[in-house]
Formats: sequence, structure tokens, C-alpha cells
Amino acid sequence: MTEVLSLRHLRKSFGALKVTDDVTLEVRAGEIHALIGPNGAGKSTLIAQICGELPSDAGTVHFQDRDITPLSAFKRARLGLGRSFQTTQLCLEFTVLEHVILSPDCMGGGSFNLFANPRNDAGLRDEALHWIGKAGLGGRENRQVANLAHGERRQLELAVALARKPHVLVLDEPMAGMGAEESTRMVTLLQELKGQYPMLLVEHDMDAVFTLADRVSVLVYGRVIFTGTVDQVRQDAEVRSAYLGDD
Amino acid sequence: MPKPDRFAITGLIMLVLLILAPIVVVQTGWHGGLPLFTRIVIYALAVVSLDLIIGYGALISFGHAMFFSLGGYMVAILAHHTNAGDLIFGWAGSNSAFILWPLALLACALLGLVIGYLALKTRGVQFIMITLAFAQMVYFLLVSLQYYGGDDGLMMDTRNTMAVVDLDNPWSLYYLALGILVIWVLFCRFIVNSRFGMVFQGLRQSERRAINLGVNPLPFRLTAFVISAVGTGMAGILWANYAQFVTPDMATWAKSGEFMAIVTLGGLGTLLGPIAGAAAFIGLEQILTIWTEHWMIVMGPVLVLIALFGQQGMLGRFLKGGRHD
Ligand SMILES: Nc1ncnc2c1ncn2[C@@H]1O[C@H](COP(=O)(O)OP(=O)(O)OP(=O)(O)O)[C@@H](O)[C@H]1O
Ligand SMILES: [Mg+2]
Repeated sequence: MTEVLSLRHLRKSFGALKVTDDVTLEVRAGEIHALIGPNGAGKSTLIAQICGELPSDAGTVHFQDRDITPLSAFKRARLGLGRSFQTTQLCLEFTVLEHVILSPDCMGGGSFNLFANPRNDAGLRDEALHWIGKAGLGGRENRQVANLAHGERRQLELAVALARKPHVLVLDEPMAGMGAEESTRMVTLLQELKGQYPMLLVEHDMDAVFTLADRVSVLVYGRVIFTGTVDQVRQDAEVRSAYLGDD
Repeated sequence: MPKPDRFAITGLIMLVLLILAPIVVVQTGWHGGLPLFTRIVIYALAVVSLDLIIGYGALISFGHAMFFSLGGYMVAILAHHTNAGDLIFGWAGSNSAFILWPLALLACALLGLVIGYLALKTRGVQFIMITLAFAQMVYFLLVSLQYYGGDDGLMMDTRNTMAVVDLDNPWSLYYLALGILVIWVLFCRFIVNSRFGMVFQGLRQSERRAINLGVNPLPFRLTAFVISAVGTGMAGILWANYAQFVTPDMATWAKSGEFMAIVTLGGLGTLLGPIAGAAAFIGLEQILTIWTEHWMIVMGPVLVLIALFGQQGMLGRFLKGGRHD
């Protein structure tokens, strides 16, 4: 199976604290690879290293057979690395439509056209509306982002990422802070997207992980202690004691 | 039914007022009215430019007076040499606005490019301090230019010449400045609504998100900074032609502070708000100077109160309201 994203021996320390300790894992074409681990295990730090927000101390990140380790964050994004953030990062003053229009508009790094108003570009509008509908935000396109509920912002983050036609999605706890109903809707949405986009999914909710994931890696104190299929995780004693609770 | 465009309505009302007000005021017999409105319009040009980067990009420049002074000094110095019959690097010089003004604006763009590039390596308070520091360097440079009057400044014996418009006629100068202001506001409005402007504003609202959309922040911010520098430089050019006199005071931190205060006073990120801010600030200054020479003692607290309580400024709430559901 072909690897889309592959991390090789990544390391990162904050002072004496090893937050990423020789992490090697890959995301294969079409799969959802879940990354689980207790609070503070280093999951978000690992994502920051993948996306180029944080430089790694050692190791490499390969994306579609290309070593992207030396590339800055915006260049990695241009290659098709889409993501969502653990705490939503959105432009609060835009409307939903404006925000999603910005995505395809920035595909090549953003335009220096000082006069054309992208809001009047019918092609971009239609494209944006398509992804807004896909993310379950249909009918709310003229709502200002600041006025969206928490769950809706999560959906918007996904729409914003999808509208860039990413080649991989790196999602940092997309269900965090959502109510039960919202979570269920998000799981359904991710299930629909499964197969179309390879995903690295950080998630605490084990039900969601077992529903969605093909493979699971377990991160504890910056180390991957286990990688395997969902069934293997269920059975593995070490994982149970480290993370799932031995009951 | 489409919502009425508050920007267009407000802009139109302001334009009509600015066209008519000096005529009416002078009709009442007060001849200080025209210079007053000329100063308002020139300041407005500078603060609209500053609003472009502060209001829309959160690039808080505390050094914009350097571009104001550079624009002014460029035309004053070139006029000085031309009138003295000196060669300027082998060039006999000119008094034509069509030659001098583009040269002065080019100088402002270059200064903006260099200083913007260096300052944009920092963020937040550091950005404020570094722009301030560069402006202070420009200030001390101007003070040290003994040949151009040093501390005392430089007189401009003749105003620049322009084909159709007679700049020696104060009415022509006023309406020219007003025309330039209108064009500049429309230009800035286009920028703000453009593809470029959307990215530029997106960077302010969430830099991490914008970067993950593939945006390299520096070129966008630098472009906006240079455009802002050019607009402020144009205000300096007009000022030199209005006052026929340039001084290093044009580059002081107090002048930069005034510009920032006016933008805040009028309403950040509205383009039109700062014009109202300029009118209020310069009008108040005029009234207070008649009353006491220590007008800043009154103006200071007024500005602090506005900064503390009127977060949206004079027009911010109105112009930013009613845009969304
Ligand atoms: N910039 C930083 N400087 C110092 N320490 C940091 C920094 N960022 C993260 N850490 C530490 O690194 C460890 C891993 O943090 P990280 O956010 O990656 O964990 P996480 O697995 O995403 O946790 P959570 O499940 O709570 O989101 C934590 O102990 C955190 O305090
Ligand atoms: Mg985290």
C-alpha cells in the first residue's frame, strides 16, 4: 500500500521534556489512521511538526514521496496538507461563505489582485457552497463566523480544509467540546469522507475511533508504543493498561 | 431587499459636506475656514492610509510620520535646488508636480519597502517600537540636515506647478486635495474588498489559519505597508504645498501618535471613520488653540477617554454594523 504521509524518527524536546521521541508512523492512501494517547502525550506537538509550525529536532516528514522537512508551513499547505486545529482557528469576522471562498482562492498562495472581489466570482461561490453543504452548514453561509456555535465552527474548519482539495487531512480532535448530537453528526461526516481523503485523526473518544479508524497508533510520553488495526488495539494488553483502562 | 450600503451613503454625505463646508464657512466671513478644511483633508489622506494597515491588518505603525515628512521634504528639497539653479545629480530640476510628486512617492515606497521588510520580522509591541525607532532616525536625520534648515525647517518659495490646477490658489489646492482623497479612499476600498484584501484581513484574524491555507504572510503585509506609506507620503507632499514650509516636526513621534489617535478616534478598519476623526481632531485643535496654547492638556484626556470607552470610535459601530446576519 502506498504511503501518503510518513514520519520517520521524529524528535522534539522542550528543554528536558521529550515531547516527540523517535516517532515513526505513516498514513496510507485511503485510510484513517487514528492517533490516540493521554493528555499531554504530544499529539498536538506532533501535528505541529507535521504541518511545519514547529521545527523538528531530528527526523523527517515525507509527503507523497517528497521530503517536506525543510519546507515552511505555508509551502506544506500548498502541497495539499489540510488540517484542523484542536482549538478552532478561524477568521471570525468573515461570513461562512467568505471564509470558504478564501480556501480555493488561496490555493496558489493567495492572489495579489487588488481589484477583483472574490465574493462576486460565481465559480468560487458555487464551489464554496458545495463544501459548506458537504460539511453540514447549508443555509448558514451568510452567518458571521463569530456567531456560529462551537460545533458549527468545527464543521466550518472541515469545510475550509476540504475546499482546498487536500491530499491528506490532519485532524486534531475534531469532536472536542461537541455535544453528543454534534459528535454523531461529525462522525457521520467523517465516515462519508473516508476513502476519499487519507486522514490522520487525533481523537479521545474511543467509540469514534473504533467506528472510523482503519489503524490506530498509541502515543504515550512522546513514544508510539503500538500501531495496529482496530481489532489488534482492542486486544493488546499494553494499550489497555496504558490508555484504555483495564476493565 | 439588499441592505443599504452604509459605506456608500456615509461616503457620499461626507463628500457633499467637504465640497460645500468651506464655501459656507468662508461665506460667513471667516477666512480661516479654507485652511482649516485643507488641513483636515490632508490629514484625512494620511490617516486613511494608516487605517489600511492598522484597522485591516493590525500592523500598528507608530512611525508613519516618517513617510509624511519624506513626502514633504522630497518636494521641498527638489524645489529648493530647482529655484536656486543647482543641478541635482546633473539634472536641472523641475517644479512640475507631474515630475516631482511621482519621485517623492517613489521615495516613500522605497522607504516603506525597506522599513516594512525589517519591521515585519517582528510582531505586536516590537513592531510598534521598531517603526517608532525608524521614524526617530528619520527625525534626527532631518534635524541634522543643516543645509536644509536643520531644526528650523525649509521654506518652499514656490509651490509646485500643475497643468490645469493653480496650486497657488487656495481653493484649487483644497479641491485638488479633496479629489485625491476621494480617489485614495475608493482605491483603498477596492483593495480591502479584493482578493488581496481578503487574505490580508484573514492574516489579522487568524494567522495560523491563513498560513494553513497556503499564504505566505510577508508579501501581503509588506505590500499593504508600502501602499500605506505612499498614501501618507502623498499627504506630506500636499502639506508642503499647503504650508510652503517643511520642518522636522513632521516626523516626530508626536505626529505619528496624532495619526494613530485620529484613526482610533474615527473608527479602526472603516476608512471613512478616520476622515471624521481628522475633522474632529483638527477642528477641536483649532478651537482649543484659540482658547489656550496648552491645547494638548485638554486634547490628551479627550483622546484617552475615547480610547478607553469608545472602542469603535466615532463611526466604527455604524460602518461595521449591519453587514452580516
Ligand atoms: N511550546 C511548548 N513549550 C514547552 N512545553 C510544551 C510546549 N508545547 C507543548 N508542551 C508540552 O508538551 C507536552 C505535549 O503537549 P501536546 O499539546 O502536544 O499534548 P497533546 O497530546 O496534544 O495533549 P491533549 O490531549 O491535551 O491535547 C505537554 O506536556 C505540554 O505541556
Ligand atoms: Mg492536543
